[in-house]
Amino acid sequence: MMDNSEQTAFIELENVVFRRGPRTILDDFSLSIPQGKVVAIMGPSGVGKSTVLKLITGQLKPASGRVIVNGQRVDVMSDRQLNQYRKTLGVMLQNSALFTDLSVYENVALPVREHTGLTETIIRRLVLTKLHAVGLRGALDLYPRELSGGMARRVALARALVLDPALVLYDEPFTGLDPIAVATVNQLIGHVNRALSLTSVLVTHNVEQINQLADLAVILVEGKVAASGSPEQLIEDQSPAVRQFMNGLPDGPVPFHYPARDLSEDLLA
Amino acid sequence: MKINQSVELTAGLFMLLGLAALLFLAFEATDVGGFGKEGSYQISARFSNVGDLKPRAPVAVAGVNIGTIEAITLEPDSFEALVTMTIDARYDQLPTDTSASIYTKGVLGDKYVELEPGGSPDYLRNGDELFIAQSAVVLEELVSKYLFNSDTESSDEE
Amino acid sequence: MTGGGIIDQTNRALRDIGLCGLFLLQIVGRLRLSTRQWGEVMRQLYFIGTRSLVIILTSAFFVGMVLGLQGYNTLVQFGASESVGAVVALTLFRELGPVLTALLFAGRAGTSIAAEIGLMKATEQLDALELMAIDPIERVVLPRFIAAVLALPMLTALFNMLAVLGSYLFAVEWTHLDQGLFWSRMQSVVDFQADYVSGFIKSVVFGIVIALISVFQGYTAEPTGRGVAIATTQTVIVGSIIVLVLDFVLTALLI
Repeated sequence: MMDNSEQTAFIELENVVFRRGPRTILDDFSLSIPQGKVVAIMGPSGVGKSTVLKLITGQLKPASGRVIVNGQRVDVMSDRQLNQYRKTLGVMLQNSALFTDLSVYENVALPVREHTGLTETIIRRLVLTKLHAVGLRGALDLYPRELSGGMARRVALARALVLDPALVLYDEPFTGLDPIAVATVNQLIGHVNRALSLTSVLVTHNVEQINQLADLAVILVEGKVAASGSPEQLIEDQSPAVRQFMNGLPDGPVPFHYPARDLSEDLLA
Repeated sequence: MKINQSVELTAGLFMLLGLAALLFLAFEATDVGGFGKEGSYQISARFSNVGDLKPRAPVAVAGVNIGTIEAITLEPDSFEALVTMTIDARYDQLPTDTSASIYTKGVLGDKYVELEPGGSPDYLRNGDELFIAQSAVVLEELVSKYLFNSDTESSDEE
Repeated sequence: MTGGGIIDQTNRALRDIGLCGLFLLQIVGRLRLSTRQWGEVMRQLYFIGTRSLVIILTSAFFVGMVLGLQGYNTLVQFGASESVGAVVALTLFRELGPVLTALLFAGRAGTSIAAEIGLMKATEQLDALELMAIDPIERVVLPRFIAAVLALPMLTALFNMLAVLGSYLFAVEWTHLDQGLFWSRMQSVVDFQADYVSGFIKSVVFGIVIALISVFQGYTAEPTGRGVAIATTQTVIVGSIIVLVLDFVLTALLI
């Protein structure tokens, strides 16, 4: 399906099993993400998309299997190694997760202050460059509560990029934004990925945006990769699960009904 | 930055205020302050019986507190109670022939030491001892004395 | 929340105490502060300490007045009304000051610490820190913990002072007790070691307890609105109960 044998895989999940309590969320799950691409992980809610992301960041450890990012085994890292590894990551979380008691400027500056010994002048230049790139250089003195959802997302993007990571992860970057903001964020993600030659991984269920943005898309259903390929390929895909998701059909392999007894049995009980 | 500084300033002020309250209470409300070790001097007196006089009980002249009982010890050779008193330095003009008596506040109140100034032109200094000391009135003694006296009186009449 | 037998609940309580202890170790293990961290401690001291002043001082003043009034009415029957200052000070220094301040502090500052940390968790701010390789305990929990531990003894001292002044105002201005007598009786009765220092020790212990409970409740809150609400409520309930129990234990130990 996904023909990327000639490309180097930047992220490799091999036969990952992940359980939460009695539930198996990922079962013998394998995924390979090539370098320099925008890759979308899609699927209906609760299917384990965010789990994949947290496996990549090392927040969760698989019960078995391997998680390899840029040649490093993430699943066996010690806390110290994880901290070193995370400095090379940019992550944009679902709610932007800006620090409410810091200004926009301080939010973006925080990772730099924390991890480098740079002088205030250089930090300022760095922060202003990133804020300029997302179009919010003028908003540096504002506080997160004064920002719209789209602006907050952009600040979070600037913060994720400020240490020039090789890999940026986006958790639901379009959720809860108005159409203009969605388009802006979409454009920024693509632009940033090309300009900085990053690898970008998006977790989303927004099919429309992915068609424009992603080089590759993966559809997860019930802890397995149901389909993967370019968005065009997915649209052509005839398997019922993919068709249901891409076209937004209420019933299909992802059932409309929560598992229950037969209706007649329930009514007559 | 300005906001930050004023926040830190207020926080510092808060800590100072707290420390000031700690010190104020230590010196104004406990036995550390008041009749402190510096602005005071010590005198002593011997009593044949102190009753239930206790350390830190007040020492008064004409009913006004001027100091506290510092310590009460037994003289090993004479079997008298040696009472050491700390007197506020403001009252440094007590004559040398001042006498001390142990009284009770009210009928059932606490014991305290009352000083009766004499007429000597010299004043008491730190470490001086009072020569006239009247012991505590012990209720049991009083009762037995009364009984004893009434006995003797009745025998006299006979 | 609902339920289980007594054994279940005891299990849960024991587990929470264990987790709380481990959390304290984690905090203490990070007890080295850079200058920047001290700035954050000062900032938290402002939110936790200065912002609690109004409620603490108002309560203290009226508690002092009430103690003065009650003490006077009782003592005057024994002809010992001049001891009112002494009685008030003893009550305050040993028990009422540390305990009442701790209870008020749990309600005012403890809840806001728990809610703030819980909210930071619910809005993924703690996750974001972790993903930036910044330790959320060192960055978020530690400054608040230290500030709360510092603030409570100071607030207790201020509470005691204002309550003493409240009773002074009542005794001297209202009942016309001689003010020299008021202070001198207090000074001769209140022992520095047994009353003042032991009260101070209590306030330090209460400070540590409430600080720990608030940050623990916030940090381990379920990351939802309901979770944050539970965390704040638990802070007050658990904090108050533990303060009262510990007060008994400490009094028994310190006498």
